[in-house]
Amino acid sequence: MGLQELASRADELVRRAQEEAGACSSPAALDEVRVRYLGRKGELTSLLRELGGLEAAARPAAGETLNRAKRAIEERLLAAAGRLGETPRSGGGPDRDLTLPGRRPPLGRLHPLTRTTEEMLDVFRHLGFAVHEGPEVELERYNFDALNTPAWHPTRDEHDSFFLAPGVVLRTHTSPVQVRVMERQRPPVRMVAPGRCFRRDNPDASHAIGFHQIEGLYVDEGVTFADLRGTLEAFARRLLGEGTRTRFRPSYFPFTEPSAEMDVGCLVCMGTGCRVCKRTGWLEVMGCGMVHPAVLSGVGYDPERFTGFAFGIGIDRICMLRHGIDDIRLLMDNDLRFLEQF
Amino acid sequence: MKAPYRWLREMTGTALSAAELAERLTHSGTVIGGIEDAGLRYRAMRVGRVIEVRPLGERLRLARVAAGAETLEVATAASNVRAGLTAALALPGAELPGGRTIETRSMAGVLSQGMLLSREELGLGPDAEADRVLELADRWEPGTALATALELDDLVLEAEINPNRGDCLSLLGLAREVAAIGAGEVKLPPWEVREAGEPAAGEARIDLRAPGGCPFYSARILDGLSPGPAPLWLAARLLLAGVRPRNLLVDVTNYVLFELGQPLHAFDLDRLASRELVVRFGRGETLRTLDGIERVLGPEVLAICDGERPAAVAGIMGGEETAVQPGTRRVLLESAWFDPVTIRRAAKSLALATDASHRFERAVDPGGVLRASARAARLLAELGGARPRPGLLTAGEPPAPLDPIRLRPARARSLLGAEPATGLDDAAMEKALGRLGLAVTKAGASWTVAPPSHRRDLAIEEDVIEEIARLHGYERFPSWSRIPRTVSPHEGERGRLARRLRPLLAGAGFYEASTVTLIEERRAADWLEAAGAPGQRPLPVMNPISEAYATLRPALLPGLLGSLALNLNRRRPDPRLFELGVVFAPTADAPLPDERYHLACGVSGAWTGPSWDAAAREADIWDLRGLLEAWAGWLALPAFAFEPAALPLFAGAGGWRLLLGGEPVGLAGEIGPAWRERFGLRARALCAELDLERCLADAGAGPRPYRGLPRFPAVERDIALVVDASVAHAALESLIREEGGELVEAVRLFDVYAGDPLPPGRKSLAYGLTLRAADRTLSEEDAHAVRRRIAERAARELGAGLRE
Repeated sequence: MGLQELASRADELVRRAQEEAGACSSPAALDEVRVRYLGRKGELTSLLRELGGLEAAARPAAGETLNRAKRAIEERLLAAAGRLGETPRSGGGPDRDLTLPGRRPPLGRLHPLTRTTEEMLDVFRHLGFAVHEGPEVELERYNFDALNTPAWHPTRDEHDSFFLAPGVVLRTHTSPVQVRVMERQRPPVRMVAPGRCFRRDNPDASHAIGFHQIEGLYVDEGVTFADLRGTLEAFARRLLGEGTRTRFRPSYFPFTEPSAEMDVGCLVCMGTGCRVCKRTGWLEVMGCGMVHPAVLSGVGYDPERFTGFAFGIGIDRICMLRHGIDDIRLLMDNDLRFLEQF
Repeated sequence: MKAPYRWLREMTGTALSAAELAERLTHSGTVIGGIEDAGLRYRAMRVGRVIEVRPLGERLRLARVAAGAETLEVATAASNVRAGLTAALALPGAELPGGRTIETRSMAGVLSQGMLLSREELGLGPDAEADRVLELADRWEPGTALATALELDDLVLEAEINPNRGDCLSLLGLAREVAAIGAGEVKLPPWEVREAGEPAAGEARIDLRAPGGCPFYSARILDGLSPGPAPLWLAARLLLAGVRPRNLLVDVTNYVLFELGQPLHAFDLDRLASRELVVRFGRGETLRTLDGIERVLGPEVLAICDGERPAAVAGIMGGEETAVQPGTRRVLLESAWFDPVTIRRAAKSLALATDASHRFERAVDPGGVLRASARAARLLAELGGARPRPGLLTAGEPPAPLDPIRLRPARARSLLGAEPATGLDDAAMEKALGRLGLAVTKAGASWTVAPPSHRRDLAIEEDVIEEIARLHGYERFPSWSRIPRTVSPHEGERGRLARRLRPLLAGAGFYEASTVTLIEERRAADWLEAAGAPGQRPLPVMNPISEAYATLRPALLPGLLGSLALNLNRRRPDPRLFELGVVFAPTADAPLPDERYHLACGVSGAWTGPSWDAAAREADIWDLRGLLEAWAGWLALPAFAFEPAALPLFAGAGGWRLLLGGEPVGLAGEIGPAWRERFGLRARALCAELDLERCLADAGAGPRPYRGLPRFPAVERDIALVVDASVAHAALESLIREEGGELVEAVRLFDVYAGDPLPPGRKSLAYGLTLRAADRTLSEEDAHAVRRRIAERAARELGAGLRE
């Protein structure tokens, strides 16, 4: 008998053993199949004995072929035994307890800040905004001066900065990305930029070492305050629900004129007044405004031809409001008992 | 800025309630963050009338006091308590401004059921004599709420003033805003002065040597001031505005500061070392300021000197030496216009912020400097009998109002998106500008708008457009979203990669963490040492908030391992965390540090299970390595390799440097016992960190090319090779692949064995081979031949034997 023939006979045995094992309805019947093929006088066992009749050179390959067949039959028997409830550790006998829990693979979760950020970005992507990134350590020039906030401007009081070197700060907002993008491209510019920012606040329930913002900018011919309202209202409704109420109030930022603050109806009390909204029924969620002409001319855009709007949203606050988180430090603590909840 | 409602009403005649004003002002840009009912501070305080007094002991007396329906007995030591006196009575439960709570107490054998209060105890400043209780007018009925009698039962509006609106930091400024929204008219308080005596000019001289820092300085001389406390109404208003009353002179200067927004400073004329006031920058002299602190006046600090020595820090705080005292009778009253940047620099360098510096930094009204001085003089004359001496000492000129601004109504409408229905016609604009006190000159389609002296924030057309818009009401403008021109849908590289990676990592059981960017300097240095970068220095911030947050992180793991330790300490078993974030390294000549986007992960405890039929299996470095191999495959990183690394971090455990195209891009392994302790980890932990920036450059970004599906079946063959223990798997695997050539589709190590019956120093590595030819079905002979060639070459080159 040649090697080829041996192999095909082995394959045939495996096929038959599988069929018979599959047809067994009791462990006893299965045992019979085992004996028929793998027992001392079993069919595969006798095939193995024929190895001696082969020439020496062919023996190792033939041996391997048969061993493989033996393992295959054992596997099929084991599988059939499992089906019959015969495996030693699978819940026992024909009356297995089917209420046992499954073997669950570990599965992690994304950070609530990530989820909030991604949902916001998705809304802006659908509105045609590109997503940009900028450095977390910034030149003071980009963080302040190019945003119409010269040295000794009182607004800098609200932007108490960490310095790495004279003229180099940890960015206090994502707004410098506006300038970096405008320096690189001509209008139309329609972008958002998420990222981490830093102000020298002592950590407490509402201040962390580092917080997160999404910056937005749209500059083109004929962009108006009505576009600002329409876009940001659409954003608020997409993110927070179609019924979300919004309002715009005058405000001040050195790099926008006119400037505004967008409030949304309180997500906690739905506008009836509660502790979170200080009983006003409204929550301040973002600063915005029409881009200041000095910012536009600073990057070489003609403010008579191009206008635009810009906005900045605090991600942490929205995340906390959405989930009812009352201490911002939880967001950077990485306690799994917290992270598991999202 | 706290604005007592009645004071604001007095200055505007507004008919709106405090709540209505708050709403309207907030919508026009002056945010009213809250309204405090100040009367609530004086709960359980009443007007009381003393019925009779009888002695209790040496000094104590017991007064029977009527307080409406009830009559109480109160012990007192005050000298002026007498029958018929109308006084301030605190009932048990009342809380005094200092925080003290009044209770019923037993004194000299009787029960004292409250307390008769002095001016000082009410926070209204010291009385003329110390041991007196406050005397109230007899018109107050006993039992009346004390807050009512003292005019402290007011609502206080908390105005949040934007940094560009320094002009709003006063009642007058807020009154102008009330007028601007059409809810009242500004009523200036009287400020005409009746002067008397010798001209002021003879008393002092002003030498203005720093006109850049102080464009305009004025001083008035007053004498004949009688000492004493301010009247109750004035003290009450100050208290409501958030300032503690002290004495008439100080209180009047503070009152005018809040009323008109102009900070004033009063020198005691008789305590000035010289009658020549010199305004100049500091020369490193020291000055003890009113708060009792010795301060060094450097060249950025503007000083008012009496002769040679500094007597006050200009625009910020006076000096102790020349300060007015309760007995001061002759005063030099300063009213000046200081340059905002000068004051801000000085305040920053002295780390000293006051009500005065806050206003000067935001520019006070140059047109109001002399008015404030006159107003204070008038009040001191009226209330303290002072005689303002004729004339003013002045130096310099107040700055002129800002230049007129061109306004094109059509541009305003187009920028704001106004439609006819918005109602913003020319007349509406003119009306809004008029209410703000902006003089309009029309010349066709282009107007000229002149800002008044107090509006130093109006410089360009857009500033004026904002004024029009905010008074018209932002909510009245239309809202639409036209996105006419397409913008290429750019997406930042990091964000794109992160979006692909995060679900993958979470799918492997890792929770996403977010750690702090600033870490302890020692921890950063430790890390650089542990991770084998001892030459790299940490990047400290110059002005950290505390030692715990002093350095930019050089890697994610120092923070992430901290989070792992925190979870272990809180007994959360088997923590698995990952983080994507920016890390920092110094650069040689660029101004900004190198920012790199990293991935880090850490795991401790079980890798699988436990379940009801299997015990848990603890994670080891092979789990970690396998995971990284799988991720690298998923990212299509072509030449990703593990190089055993003797890093301090892994000493006593084991780990690798991660290589990409031969370049180090990260590390992975088990943290050794020494570093485990230094990171506070109470259990074994595995970690890895990878520079994604490098991986981004190498990752297969474009679409992956399709390979035709195999048309012929594969043949599986096993081969077990016995080699010296020193032979590496990697060497065997590459030998197999090389020798097998195109036929080898996959090589899988399925067993590693050493021990009986193998001789000592030998081990067996068993591989499963998948062999396939692209053009035919492999025969048994083909497969056998490949296996034999591999065995022969392994024997020749690596001394391998076949294990049957």
